[in-house]
Amino acid sequence: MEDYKNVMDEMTGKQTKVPVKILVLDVLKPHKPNILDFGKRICTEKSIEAATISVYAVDEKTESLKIVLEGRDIDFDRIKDILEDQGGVIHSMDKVVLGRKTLSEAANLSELGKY
Amino acid sequence: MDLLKALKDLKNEEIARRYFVMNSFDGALTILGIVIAVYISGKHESGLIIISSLGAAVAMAISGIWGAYSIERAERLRVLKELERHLMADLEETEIEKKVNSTTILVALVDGLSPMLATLMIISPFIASKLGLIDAESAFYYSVGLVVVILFLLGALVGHVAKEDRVKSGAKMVLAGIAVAVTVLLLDLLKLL
Repeated sequence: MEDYKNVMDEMTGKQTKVPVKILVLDVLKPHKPNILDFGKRICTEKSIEAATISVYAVDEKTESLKIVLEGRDIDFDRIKDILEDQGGVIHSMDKVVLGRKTLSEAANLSELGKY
Repeated sequence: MDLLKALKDLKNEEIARRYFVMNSFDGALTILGIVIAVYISGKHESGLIIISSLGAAVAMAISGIWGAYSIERAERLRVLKELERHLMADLEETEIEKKVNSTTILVALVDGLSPMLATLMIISPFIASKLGLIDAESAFYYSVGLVVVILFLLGALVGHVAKEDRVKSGAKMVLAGIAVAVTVLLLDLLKLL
């Protein structure tokens, strides 16, 4: 069934959905809401299993964040809506881990450890 | 619930606290002035005090709500536009804009309704008198007593916010009430001279 689906997708030019496991974003946001409330709001999205947020720059009105999101299949469009709803602006997508392979615990920790 | 969240956010709004204290204080002293003036004029009529006080309270409420809404909205929109410039993004329809709108309305309501609340508390003995529960003379004394309590509590709140002696702060506010009473009595004495 899986092979048939892949063939059909190729024939129709439709890309097979690839699950996003880890997403690292560079985000600029206002001081309020703080990163705790900001993170809690992100984690209301059901495709997110964990979020790590670090502030790496602060100015008078805004702060720059590195956000590492983990999940089985992260819905980026929903995340973008949630971030923008709270005044966040995605400056860049710095890293993404995709695929159906289950990541090892060691691999997960190494991604998170950099931030 | 959005309303509960908005009220929770309001609790942290410094400006709402300032408006509440300032305008409750204004309302209490204004009504105290009316009560004393009507009383010393010799017209011990509860109805007259009730209607005069409510008239003043409605004026203060409308002026407070209208004025506070206009300026708060202007100030908060200014801050929002500045933030949009920094972020280089449009914050329309975001939670941030919604919070600005809801907080503006709630702060304006606090500004306008605080003197109304103080007024209703102070004239309640006269309402009781109008209903025949107490006489007008007693209503006057109860009303003045309520003013003293309200001023003391407002002062205690100020003391709590400033982390100072609440009793001292409360007493200072009551002094303001005494100043109003003495001034109105002096005006009456000057009229006799």
